[in-house]
Amino acid sequence: VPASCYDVLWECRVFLILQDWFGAMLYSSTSNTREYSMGGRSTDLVQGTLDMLILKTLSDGSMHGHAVMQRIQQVSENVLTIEEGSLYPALHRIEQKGWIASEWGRSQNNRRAKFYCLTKTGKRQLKEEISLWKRLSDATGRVIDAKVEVA
Amino acid sequence: MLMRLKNIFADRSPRKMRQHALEIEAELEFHIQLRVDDLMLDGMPESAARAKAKLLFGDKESIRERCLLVSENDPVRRLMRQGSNISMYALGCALLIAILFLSYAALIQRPSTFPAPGHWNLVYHQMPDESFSHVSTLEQYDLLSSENEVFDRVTAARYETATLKGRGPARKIRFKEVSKNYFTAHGVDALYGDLFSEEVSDVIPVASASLPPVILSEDLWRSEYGGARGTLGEVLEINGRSFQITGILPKSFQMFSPTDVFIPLERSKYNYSEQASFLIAARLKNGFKVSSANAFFRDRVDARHSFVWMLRSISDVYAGPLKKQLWLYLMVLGLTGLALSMRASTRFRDSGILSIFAANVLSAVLAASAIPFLAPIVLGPESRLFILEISPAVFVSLLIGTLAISALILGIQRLWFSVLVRFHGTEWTNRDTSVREWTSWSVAVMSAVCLFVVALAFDAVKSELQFRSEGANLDTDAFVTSLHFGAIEGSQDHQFAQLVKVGQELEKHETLNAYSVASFIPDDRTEDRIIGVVGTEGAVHPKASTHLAKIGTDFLSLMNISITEGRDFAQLSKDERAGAVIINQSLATNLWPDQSAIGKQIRTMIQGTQLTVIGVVEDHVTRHASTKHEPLMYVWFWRYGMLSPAFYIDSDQDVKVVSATMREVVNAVNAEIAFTPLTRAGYQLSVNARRLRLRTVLLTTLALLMLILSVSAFRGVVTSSSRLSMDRLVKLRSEGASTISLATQSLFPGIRWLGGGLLTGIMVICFVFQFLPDGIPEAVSPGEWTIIPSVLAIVVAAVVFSSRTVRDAIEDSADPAFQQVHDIV
Repeated sequence: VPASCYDVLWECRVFLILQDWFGAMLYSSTSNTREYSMGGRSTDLVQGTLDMLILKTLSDGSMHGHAVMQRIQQVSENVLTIEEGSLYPALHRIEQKGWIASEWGRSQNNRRAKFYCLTKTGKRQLKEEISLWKRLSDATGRVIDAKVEVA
Repeated sequence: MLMRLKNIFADRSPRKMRQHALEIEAELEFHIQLRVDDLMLDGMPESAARAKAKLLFGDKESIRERCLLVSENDPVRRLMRQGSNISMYALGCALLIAILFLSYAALIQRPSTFPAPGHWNLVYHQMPDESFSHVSTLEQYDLLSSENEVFDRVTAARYETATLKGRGPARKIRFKEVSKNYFTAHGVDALYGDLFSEEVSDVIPVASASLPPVILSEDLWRSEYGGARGTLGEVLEINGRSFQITGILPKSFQMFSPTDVFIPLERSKYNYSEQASFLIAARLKNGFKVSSANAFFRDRVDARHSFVWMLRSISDVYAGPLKKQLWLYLMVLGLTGLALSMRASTRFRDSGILSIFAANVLSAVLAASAIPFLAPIVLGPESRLFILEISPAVFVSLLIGTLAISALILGIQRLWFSVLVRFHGTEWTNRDTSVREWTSWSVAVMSAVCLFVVALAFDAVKSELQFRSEGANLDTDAFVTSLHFGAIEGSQDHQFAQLVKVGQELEKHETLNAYSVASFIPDDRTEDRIIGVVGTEGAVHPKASTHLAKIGTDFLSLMNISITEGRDFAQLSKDERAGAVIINQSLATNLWPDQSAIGKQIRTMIQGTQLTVIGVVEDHVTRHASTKHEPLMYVWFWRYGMLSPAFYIDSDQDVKVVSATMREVVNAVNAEIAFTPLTRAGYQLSVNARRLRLRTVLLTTLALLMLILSVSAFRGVVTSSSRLSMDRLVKLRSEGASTISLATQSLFPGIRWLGGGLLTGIMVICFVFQFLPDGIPEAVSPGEWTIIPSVLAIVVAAVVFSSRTVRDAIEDSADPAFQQVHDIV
């Protein structure tokens, strides 16, 4: 049965009313699938890039999630803006992998905060990630810079 | 590797996970607080800064869940956490299907004890008032036996209780007189010995040299004779009459109610065309269905005889009332499944949601198909009977069975989820808006089913309350016991004479204050109930159907049933009583709504007797747990004889003393007379009400379960829509809305869901009711109790509609100006 038949059935009579009713109610939070944005435009980068950015940031020393976010934003000169919805799951995922460790401490304004730091495994992983990223970046650059040869 | 191992063996107990969740919450809160600090440094007021920080942060609940999800290694538990609404509904759906299939299998699709049970039907014949009766005469049996065009087998059976004297002491048994083709027609073979064959004589011989045959049930054979093969040929006595055991019937065969012994039908004992005592079962020929057979009989009503036949399949007769409700329930579930499947197929063509439903149905079918094999193990041999009298044991068994099947289905689902996760990952469960849309449908449907079950529960509770307030109004401490004279020996005159003797013996005992007799005939048992009002010759009164009670002179005073108008039988002479009748208020109102019934005359249709109304009594319930008062007329027993008479005894003594006295009296008259254990008349009512109460408990439990599931689903969806609520509140605050106004607005998301769900539920129920073939069954009719939530739902919906709709909010939020408002705030 063509999918359009279902659609026709679906849109008819009482379903139309109900769908309208529920469709209206169903507007909820906007999709939160972006990992980070660049200049207000969503950017889908290679999966794992965020992990690398976090690891690199934490290589400067232990810091809490908010500081990690601000640090990336600051270093990238506001080009990369990480959303909290991506940052914290990523932090926890990396921690589960054993690349970073966490402990509760006190922030500058004496609030209780969770600080993350890089582990030895994390340092090794960071090297691998940077190496991979550079290879990828170089390769991408070569493709972009390549002259088009017409046969 | 070490970390992986550590992860695998990490403590993920619920306590640990709760603690973990709290830590994440604290971490996220810390983040928001820092944002608030930053915004306040920019000069924003604290409240506005907090609102904006939360807005910028996003859905904290969702982020927390995603963080928690990372800690969950088990893919199935990840799925449960990730798509809680989906899993919740899928599991709820599975539970409902399990309950449905179990009930269906236990009550209707029970294991068959004989070949082709679907072809067997109970035969009804039309009465003068155009209603149908299932109790037939021998003449009607013979007529049906000759219906070779429609039936290939016709059997007759008559049920009775009797006193058996075998090897042990005398005991009460259930026996059945059956037509000689009874066993061959049902294709039953004897466990030992021989069953009746077509050659058995219709007349039981009197000479002791050739005793009439009797077939024992396997249960009786094992309990009374220890299962010995030498039992065959032994002689036993039933109500003092000797029979020779010729065969043992395997207990795997059951037809209608359980029976201990079978004897061949003795035709000469019954009035050929008048004494209606037989249940006639007929097997349809191949090619005939119940509907076509009924049509056949309707068309040829006058061609051959004056009887109009009607067939009802056996399962319909015994499970009909339940079947209708279950069918309705099935229909609601079916529509639910259809809507969800359509939704799933249009929105999730590449996902596994449809597969989940398929898995639900398949697992339910699997479970249901296993029931015929499991039921005898779980429920015992009784499961092979038509389970109508739901005893506490059966109820508990059903409950355990439901839980077991639900566990089985959950297990299958868990396996199925694992497969889906293995091949599709968990990504398909988190398609955000689409998933929420789907979830909202599940909530709507869940609420529809919930409302339906709640309506049923309301109805049951209402019946229970009504029974308590109106039904249990019998104000007497009298004891009651039913006498059984047995059907084999003695005519009704003989029984009547013995009844009088018992009464005379009772009078000799000073410990008994008073006694009386009564025999209640429900309105579907005798044609005596059809009455007419004298003066309206020829026409049956439209409200003339009534129950009939044949009572002794002192019955009404003994039972404290007060005469509201006129006189009692005790105030009349013996001759006057014969032509007198006392009616209850319901019947009086039916027949003469605007005038006094005293002095009016009614006539019975069968005997044509004219009776004069001498009194009107208040409505009350004497034996049956009826949910409403029904028309009842009392006639004096002396003139009409009694069927299954009951003695009502007033005594200050303990029940054991009265029981011993009764035994002494009965033995003095005739030791073969059996009587039921003495109970308080009021207690008998409560026994009859037990079924009503069980229904209430069952439905209320189910309704609570549905409510819990629905509320859980609501909670999940309302939580997911909190972002919208937040957006809306920020906007309203920016427009200067008051705190009270904001508080009111913040309630709307929940109210919208509730109102929408209830509204949809009502629409679905109305939609389903329109397609009921016989209109709305009384038991599931949306009576006044259903109207209350319906009206509430409509009011809520109207309020929601009249307020600013969510659609406005959607449009507003898409407007660039809205973003500017955010920035300002």
